[in-house]
Amino acid sequence: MFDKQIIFTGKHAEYLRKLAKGSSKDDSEWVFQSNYEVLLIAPVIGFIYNRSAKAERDAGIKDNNIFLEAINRVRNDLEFTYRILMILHKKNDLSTEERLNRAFRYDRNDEKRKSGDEVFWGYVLGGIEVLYEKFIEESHGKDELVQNIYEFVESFQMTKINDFDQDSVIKLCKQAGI
Amino acid sequence: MIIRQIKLNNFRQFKDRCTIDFSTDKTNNVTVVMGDNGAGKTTLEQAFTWCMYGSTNFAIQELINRDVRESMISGDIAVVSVELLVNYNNHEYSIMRKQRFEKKTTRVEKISNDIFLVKEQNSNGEFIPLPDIKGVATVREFMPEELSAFFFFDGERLEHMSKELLEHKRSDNFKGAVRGLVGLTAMLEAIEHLGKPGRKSGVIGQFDSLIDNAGNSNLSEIAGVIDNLMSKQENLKKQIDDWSDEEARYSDDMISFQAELKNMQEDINRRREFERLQALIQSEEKEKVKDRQALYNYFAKHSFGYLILPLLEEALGEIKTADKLDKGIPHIHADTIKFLLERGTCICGSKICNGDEATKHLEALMQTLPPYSIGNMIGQFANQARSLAVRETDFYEQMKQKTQAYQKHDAVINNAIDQRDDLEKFADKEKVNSIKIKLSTAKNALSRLRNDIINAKTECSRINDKVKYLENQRKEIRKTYSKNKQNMVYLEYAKVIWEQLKTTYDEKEEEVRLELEARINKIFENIYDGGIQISVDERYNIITNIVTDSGDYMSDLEKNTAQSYAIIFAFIAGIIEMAKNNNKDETNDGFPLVMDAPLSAFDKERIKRICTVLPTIAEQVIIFIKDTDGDIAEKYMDSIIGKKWLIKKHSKTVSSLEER
Repeated sequence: MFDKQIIFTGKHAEYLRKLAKGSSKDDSEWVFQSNYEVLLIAPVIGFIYNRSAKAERDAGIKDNNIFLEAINRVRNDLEFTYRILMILHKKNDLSTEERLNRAFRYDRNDEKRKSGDEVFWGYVLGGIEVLYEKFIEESHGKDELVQNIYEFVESFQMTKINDFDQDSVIKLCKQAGI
Repeated sequence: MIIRQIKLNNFRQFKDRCTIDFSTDKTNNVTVVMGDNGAGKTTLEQAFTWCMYGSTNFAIQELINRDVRESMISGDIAVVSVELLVNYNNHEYSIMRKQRFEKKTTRVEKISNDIFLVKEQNSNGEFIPLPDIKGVATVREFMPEELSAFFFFDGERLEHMSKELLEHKRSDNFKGAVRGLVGLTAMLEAIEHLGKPGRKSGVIGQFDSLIDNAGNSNLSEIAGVIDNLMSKQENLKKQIDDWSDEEARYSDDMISFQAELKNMQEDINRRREFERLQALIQSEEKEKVKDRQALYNYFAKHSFGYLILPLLEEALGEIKTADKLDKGIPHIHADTIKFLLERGTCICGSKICNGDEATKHLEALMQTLPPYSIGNMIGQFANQARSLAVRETDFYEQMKQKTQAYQKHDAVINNAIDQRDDLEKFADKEKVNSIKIKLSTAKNALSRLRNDIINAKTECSRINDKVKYLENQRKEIRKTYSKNKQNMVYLEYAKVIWEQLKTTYDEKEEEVRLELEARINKIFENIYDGGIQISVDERYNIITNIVTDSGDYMSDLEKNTAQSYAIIFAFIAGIIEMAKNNNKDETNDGFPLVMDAPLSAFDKERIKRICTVLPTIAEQVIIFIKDTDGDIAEKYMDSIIGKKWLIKKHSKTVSSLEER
């Protein structure tokens, strides 16, 4: 898992290029300095926004790669996200056992992990689309971008975080045997 | 005197015959004559003076129309004439002046003197000529020539007086007007005739020299010294007068330089403030960029730990319900057990054989270890979840603060931009320096002048003492000669008479000056603004002062053309009022005011006031106005305009008159 370079194709390659355009020369002042920073939050956002997408091919658009070296920087967090998404995806359709297996049991088995990977990368692409819409399409100028980022965080805070119970999470972690 | 009509014949631009009827109505007493520059407003105005007194102040003295002159052939005679029909003391008069010109081979020459004829209408309606001398006297009675310049007031004179006022010069116009109003010309001539004591000319001087001639060489020597001293003193006094004028001008200059500098200092302060704001805007912009990048970086680095938070509890909850939170042995993998079984020896060294208890136990254990068991994996997962649960708990607060800090820059920047945009005008540093130099030059000149004036005054009084001493000495010597006795008595008489006349005249003149001053102030208040005091000192300097609320005077008045014109209008109106007042026997039933009115120098409110006040002071107003001013004047005087005329300019040399 996450042991080789990742290739984005089609519009997602372009979106990612624009989202992490800090690496290009025209404007170094930008939110994401590198592709891997986008990659780290994209699946979470895709899942939260219930947005999944399929990779597209477009000969007119250059592929966009994230090399293993860059992936290694966020590997732990990516693996963690992968497991969480496997646990929570189709919570009501799939059996707990199946979901936990996908989350934890097939790390070394590329074949068995295939369906889980599909789900995960679907959310990654969906997340990239959401980020592209919010940060690029809906933001005209830097002041508006700052405002949009803040509004994104604020609405997340109001709808998702207000109910977050840190004690309860820590208690559950203890029960999980640490 | 009310003017009914003027008839011009070949007078300057007015070729052939031109006639204007003026409004003689008591209420609608204004006649407006409109004309462009160069159309002939001043000419028309001068026609009055020429007709009545035979004088004009044209730069070119030639009165004949140029076209007429050019078309004359040898032997031709052309006539230039102006005739005024006036009403005076309920009688109708015609005043006519004629000048004839003859073309002699190449040149056009005036034929002898001009012809002046005054006629009076008799009960039959016929105009009967008055004898020559009576004619001149009658016109003088209508309006004394000394004052006529104020009733026939042309644009050039207005500009000249305005210049006098603005340049702080003594006003000869004012002096002349006061003399005219005092009216004691005979007394003034007597004073002049007697001659100032100490001067050689005049009656007093002649007696003086008669006495001296009869004396000895000592006396003529003393007389010579006195003469010298007196002329020296005279020169000094003239010098003091000139210096005082100069002093007043420098004083004015200093005040205006100081005011200018003060304005500029404000400009300099504004510029500093502008630069400060500019720098503030720039530094805020920089800080804004910095803060924005900090916000971006924070979001990129920390948002993951924040966004994942709501998923933790749910995922852990799922694991709990699955009851899969079993424990393996930390860091032991199924491969480890497999290895021990194949080796046949446990970690503790005991033998492990196929089928024995230990093997069965180990085989069961294998199922709880990775990759067969996920308990251990879940343990690691929970471990990671725990650290994530506490990692980014202040993310929202941080983002909020960073966004606010970022947006605060905008408030500061916008505020600074607003303030900056209000500060537009700047002073030129070089200009400031040049004014500073001018100011210090004026200061130095002023202190030098004041010093010179004091020295000259001291010198004057020293001379005075010396003259007195010498005169006493002379008197003593003269007494010793009996044949001087008679002449000395005459001299004393002459001196006393001179003194008395002079004192009386000066008193009268001062009285008139002060009365005129008071009237001018009253009228000025009506046509211009309150709060400005005009004073005329003994030397006929016209000074304008601002009266502050506390009643103090400040001489730092910004003079401008509009204001100087307003002062002149007030001045003319004041003279008319006083002339009316002097006319106690009421033989004169009114005075006309014929004047140029450059109304465009004023703002609307003042035009309104001028147009309202002047027609109430003069019985008849004939006003010359530029086209551009005409509309404004007519707007404000509409209800009192009796007649409207237009001077139509056909060429440089020919204009005609049209009633509108």
